[in-house]
Amino acid sequence: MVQYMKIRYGVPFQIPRRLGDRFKEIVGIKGVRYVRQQGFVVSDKSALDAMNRILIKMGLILVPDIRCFICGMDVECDECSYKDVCKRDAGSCICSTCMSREDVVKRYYDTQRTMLDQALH
Amino acid sequence: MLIYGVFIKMSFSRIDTLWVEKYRPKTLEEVVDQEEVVASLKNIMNNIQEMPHLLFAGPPGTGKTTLALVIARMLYGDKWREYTLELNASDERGINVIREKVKVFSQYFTPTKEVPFKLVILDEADMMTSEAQTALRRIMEIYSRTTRFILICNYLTRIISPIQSRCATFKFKRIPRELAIKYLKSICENEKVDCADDVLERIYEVSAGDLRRAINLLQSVVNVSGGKPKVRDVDEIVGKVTPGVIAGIIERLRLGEFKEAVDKLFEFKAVSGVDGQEVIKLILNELMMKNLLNPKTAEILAKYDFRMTEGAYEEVQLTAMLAELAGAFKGTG
Amino acid sequence: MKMLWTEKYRPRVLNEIVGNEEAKRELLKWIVDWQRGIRDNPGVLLTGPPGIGKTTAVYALANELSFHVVELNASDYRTAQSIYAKVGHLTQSNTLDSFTSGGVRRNILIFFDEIDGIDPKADTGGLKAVLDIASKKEVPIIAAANVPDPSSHKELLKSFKVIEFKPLTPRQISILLRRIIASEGLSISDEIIDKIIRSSRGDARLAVNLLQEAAAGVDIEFVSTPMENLPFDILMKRLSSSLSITEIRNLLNSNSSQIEDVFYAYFDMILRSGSISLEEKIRLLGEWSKLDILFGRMNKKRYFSLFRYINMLLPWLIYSANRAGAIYDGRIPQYRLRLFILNRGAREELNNLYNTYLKGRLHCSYRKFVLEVFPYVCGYLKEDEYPSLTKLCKKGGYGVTW
Repeated sequence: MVQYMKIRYGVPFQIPRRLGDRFKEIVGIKGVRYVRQQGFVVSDKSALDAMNRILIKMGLILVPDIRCFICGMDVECDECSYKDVCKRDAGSCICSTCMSREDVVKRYYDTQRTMLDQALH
Repeated sequence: MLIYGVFIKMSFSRIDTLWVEKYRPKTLEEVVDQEEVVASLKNIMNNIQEMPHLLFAGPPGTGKTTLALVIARMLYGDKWREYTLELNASDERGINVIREKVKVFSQYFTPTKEVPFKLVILDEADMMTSEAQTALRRIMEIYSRTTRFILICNYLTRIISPIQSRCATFKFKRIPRELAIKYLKSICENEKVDCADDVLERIYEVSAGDLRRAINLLQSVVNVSGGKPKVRDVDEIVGKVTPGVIAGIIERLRLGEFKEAVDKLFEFKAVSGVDGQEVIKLILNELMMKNLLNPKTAEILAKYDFRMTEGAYEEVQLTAMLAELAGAFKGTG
Repeated sequence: MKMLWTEKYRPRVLNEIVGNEEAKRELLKWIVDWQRGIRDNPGVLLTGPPGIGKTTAVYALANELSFHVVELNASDYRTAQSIYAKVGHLTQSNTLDSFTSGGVRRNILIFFDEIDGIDPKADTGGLKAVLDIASKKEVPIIAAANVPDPSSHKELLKSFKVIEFKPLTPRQISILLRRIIASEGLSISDEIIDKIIRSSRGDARLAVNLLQEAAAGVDIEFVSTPMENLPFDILMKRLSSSLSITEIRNLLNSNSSQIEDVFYAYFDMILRSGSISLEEKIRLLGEWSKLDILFGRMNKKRYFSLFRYINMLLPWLIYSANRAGAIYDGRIPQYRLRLFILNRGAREELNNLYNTYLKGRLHCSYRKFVLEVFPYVCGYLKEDEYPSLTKLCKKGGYGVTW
């Protein structure tokens, strides 16, 4: 029984397995870092693929969790018309529901404004 | 008076004669100034059979070419063109071309009592490299039985000493103010032009002892003004001929108008077609005149003069040079 | 003058940048913390491929928080000595760490772009100098690298906070394009927009360039997929809108047959630019003239291995010209006009005049004729016989006309 686990690029996560010797192997992958007390950080899809080749032996598969920047829902990349040209390694995207709204540009900038304002204070 | 001049009927519509040629002296008596040179030459011409090679050195417009042509006339009379070969070192592509021309000119000639030798006048000899001059010395020796040379240069120091030692050297001086103005006046009288003294004075000032430039200026001033020249006509024309244009370019650089300076330079180059090294030489002269030549500007000119032989496009090198000069002027205020 | 949209729509504040939201938030948070005295890392390293907003983000950030950016780039500052000379004094205690501009006191931010351009082996001490300056933690320092993993710069990775920028997703590119399309009032078919999105490969700058080309009626398919043999105009636009060495190098490498044209066109751009200062012009034209000598030697001596050096140097020169503000405005490069058209016509006529009428009758060389005689007599020329010469003389550059 394989367990799927959603992770986000660039955001630290813990692996719910005892890694032992595999730890060294994993941090040796290009694009994988280990931040003390926070966990692993995977930078892109190729690093994730390499990591999955190791983890699958322990019954674990990591899948990138790309969420809609505007509404926070799952983007559902497999449904996207651009899936053939997208590396799916961005931290976020925009879901098809939001994309289909006429005011998507304004909503995008509004959301980002709110996020950046929070960081300012 | 017999008019001897350059006829350019086909292309020049309004007048067909250039005054520099029309009023070029044809006898020793007509020559302006250079008394010592003329006196020595008279002695030499008394015994034509033993005439040595001659070397004329001095600033431009002081009568060197004129005297060489006078000698040709004294030697051969009206048939002088037949026995004289005029060459310009800056026109002939390399010493081999000069050698070929001298060879064709001299080899089948048999000296007679009337015509003891042929004459080669080589102008701008100081434009030749020292290697070329060494080859020239050999050419002079090979054909010495049939040919005499008159070498003309601006700078005696640029002529290698083996050539100097084989020639009788004559140093030409700048033409003094009174004599030059007197000569200009005589041209005016002959052309029936009413030209005030202050105009002639101004012409002399801006041409600095160079009689060729003075006569050219006079003719242009007369043409432009339509018969009654003014001092400001002189000034206007000076800005449009070689040293004036270069001075204008330098002035723009000093005002920080770099782009305008570049445009002016390229206009000048486009019309005149002078090459990059010649441009640098002109700028060097102008900087010297204006006391703007200092270690910094000299180094810049030297650098680009050297690079000019290596660069792909003169335009690129010249532009970069003007940019550096603009910076140097800005630095000194 | 045609304005490049990459300039016109270059974001001035962080919020205008599309994509990499989390990275921008981290960057903003870092600098806000720095201002509050929380200085865990001596600096920030932004990584990611060209054209996705790293440099733009730094300048937008500085603009919003009133920082004065002191910029270094690896093309001009490769050695420790030159780096200290430029920013060393900013980090000494008791010196001003602020800068007054437009009446506003601005704090200083050091930005070292394309830091991967410093070769840690060859450029001795350059990197060490950056680290040394950063370690004093007196002035915030942000570096940017085009490679996602500048592993050769271990020291930098160890101490700097790394923030990774990613190519934009196709939908993010779409957001970006929609904004410009609305602003310009364009009507472009969905099909073409789709092509632009697919061709841009997440590069925001490329997407904007492609949109401008499409708006001008250029077939996108033609210019997007293969980078090779771009039309000269498009190649120049791409080059001059790029602030990335890597991108410039790629463009030049895949269009190497046009390198010489690019070189001289750039020379012309620098020369006539209104926005580059005289000092910068002097410096850039000096660099260009040096490279011109390499071209000269290569062509004259058929010494084509020199091309390697040209290939290496030209991207840096173009990069620093772009930095200084060189803009391609789509005009025909003037150098061609000067070198080949104006000069040729006039020179041929002048030669003809001398050889046909004057040689042998005028006792002076061609050189003297040109400098000392011609300017006085060009008023005699008949216009129908010497059109180029009379035209140039009448323009007033050289020669007396009446």
